[in-house]
Amino acid sequence: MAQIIASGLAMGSIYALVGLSFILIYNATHGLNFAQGELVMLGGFVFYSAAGTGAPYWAAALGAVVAMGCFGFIYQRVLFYPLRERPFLAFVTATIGFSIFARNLALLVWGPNPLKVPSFFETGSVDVSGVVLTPEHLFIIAVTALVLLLQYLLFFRTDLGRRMRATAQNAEVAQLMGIRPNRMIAITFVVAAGLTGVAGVLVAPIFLLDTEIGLNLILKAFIAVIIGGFGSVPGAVVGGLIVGLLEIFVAVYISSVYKDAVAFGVLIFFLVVFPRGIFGERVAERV
Amino acid sequence: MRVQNLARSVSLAGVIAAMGVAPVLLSTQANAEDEIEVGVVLPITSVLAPYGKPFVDALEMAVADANAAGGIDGRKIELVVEDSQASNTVAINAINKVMRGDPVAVFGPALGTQILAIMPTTEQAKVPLIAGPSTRKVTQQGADYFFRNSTHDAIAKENWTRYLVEDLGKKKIGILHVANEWGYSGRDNTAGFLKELYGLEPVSIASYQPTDKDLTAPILQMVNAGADAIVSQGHPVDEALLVKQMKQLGVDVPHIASGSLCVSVLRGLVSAEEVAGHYCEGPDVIPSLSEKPAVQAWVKAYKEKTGFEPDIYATHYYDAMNMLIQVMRQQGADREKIRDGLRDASYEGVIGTYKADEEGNLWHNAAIMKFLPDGKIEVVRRYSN
Repeated sequence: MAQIIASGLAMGSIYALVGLSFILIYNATHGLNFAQGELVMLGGFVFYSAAGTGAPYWAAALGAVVAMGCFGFIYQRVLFYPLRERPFLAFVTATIGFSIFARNLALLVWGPNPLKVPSFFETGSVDVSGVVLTPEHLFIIAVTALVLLLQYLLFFRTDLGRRMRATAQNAEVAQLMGIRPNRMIAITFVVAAGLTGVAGVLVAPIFLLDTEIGLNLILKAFIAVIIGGFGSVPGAVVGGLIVGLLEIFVAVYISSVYKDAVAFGVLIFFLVVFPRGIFGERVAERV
Repeated sequence: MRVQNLARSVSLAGVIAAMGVAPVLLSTQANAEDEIEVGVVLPITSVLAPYGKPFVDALEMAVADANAAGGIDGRKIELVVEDSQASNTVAINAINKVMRGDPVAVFGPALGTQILAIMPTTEQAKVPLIAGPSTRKVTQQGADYFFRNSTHDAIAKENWTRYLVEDLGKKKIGILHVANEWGYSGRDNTAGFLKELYGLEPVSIASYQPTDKDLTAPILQMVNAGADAIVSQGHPVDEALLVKQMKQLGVDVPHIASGSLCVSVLRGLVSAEEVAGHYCEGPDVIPSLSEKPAVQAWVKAYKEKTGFEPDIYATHYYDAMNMLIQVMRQQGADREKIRDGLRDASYEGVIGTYKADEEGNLWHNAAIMKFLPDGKIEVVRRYSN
């Protein structure tokens, strides 16, 4: 049972990270970035290449996160900035286009064969008072918790965070207050892409990397943010964990075949019955 | 006046240029007609790319050797490669594009669904189609121009069922498979042979989605059902994750995986330590285990070209291409003659003999290998017909 919960929470943590980065961009720009899963995929591949240079594990991981952060800035400049005055659909379409581009780019650069990234841990499992747990799962949960804490401190304990929240709530008023919205949006993209880098580093050792891993992640993260309440940061996290746990419990106690069907069933249920999700969106709560 | 002169000289230059170019055009056309086209429809991009690129490499190697040795009566072979991606629709477009040329034969994907999608086109055009899908029903449709270069599931799954029950004495067998056509083929054949040969039912059947990365649930389902042996039919990534997660969950009942696990070991997706104690089955033993000089030479050449050791499926494509080349050399590069040749010839490939049966199956062997803790691979059961 503990193994099931740990496994569900670990997958849920990944969905939460992807969902959170998705929501950060949504809150800052009102754009839906459907290439978020592909950013995770790229993060994983960059980590693979960095680890392949013989760099220490932590340095490769840090390198991948920083590289993805930088990529977030370019992504914002190339994809979001020119389209910012257009209807929001333009940006959404561009992100879908980018996701296809990214998958094919990765295929060209890293080849069609799945890749294996060595694990952080020597042992395959740890025994916690009779319960067998996977260290990788515990590590994912711990890192996600740490990242969320840092995220909280950034947004609620720093001046930069306050300016970012102000921009998200009302860019025009923020501008009148002397905040530069474009700069804040750029920083949000960097932070969001950095989060996908973290997710990429975390999933690389447990997934085996291929160019398609992003698709499933963004779908599940999307369900997570709907359940949690679209636009809500705690909602994205709680929603992610719920989706992760729901999946594994349905798979164990009902059937793996119905796992995705149930997840999407819950999505539809929430859209119809609780369209505001668990942490129903209020502008004041937005980051 | 000057303008007229200019126009005249320009048009004159055009005529001269056209006269100069025309013979060149004619000669390239003649060359194109001179080459023998062989169509290739395989997934080169998308999630199924691992089932395409390695085979294209193998086909190219066979063609390069044949062309270096003078081609077919002096005519070079040209591969016309089109991408089928992970989609039947794209596969149909790809075969249509290939058929716009004049291929004497076509190599198709080792994927039952895609073969079923493109076979009507090749049958109608009466062009031989060679591929390695393991789903048996592909060759039970009454096709006249289809040849399978690998083993189908009815042979492979009978072999592993017999091994589990007769050699290992297991009775409570769990079946774990990916939820797609190929996975169901493995499930149905295994369950069918358990029933037919021993009157047994599988104790548990669990499937998972092709995108799933966490296989805890189906593994625990096997454990809870009390399975004393597990067979699994999944793709290379799934089989690698399954082996790893079984170890993490402390499940150590005998586990025979599909040929995909042989592939994942060759591609470095699982370490020797993780895979120790598990089995993989396939149409034959992994080529690098063979001591025959011809196989060793093939393994070396393939590794030089691609960086990986060849798996058995890539070897089948290499052999089938060479069989096609032999048939063309003996009978001529004509669709009907090739069909008859493939149907009647017996061909000695690098790993063994290819000879068509009435269904169009060229290869009839199967093997089960066990991974040992010291990294060695032991062949525990062979089947040949």
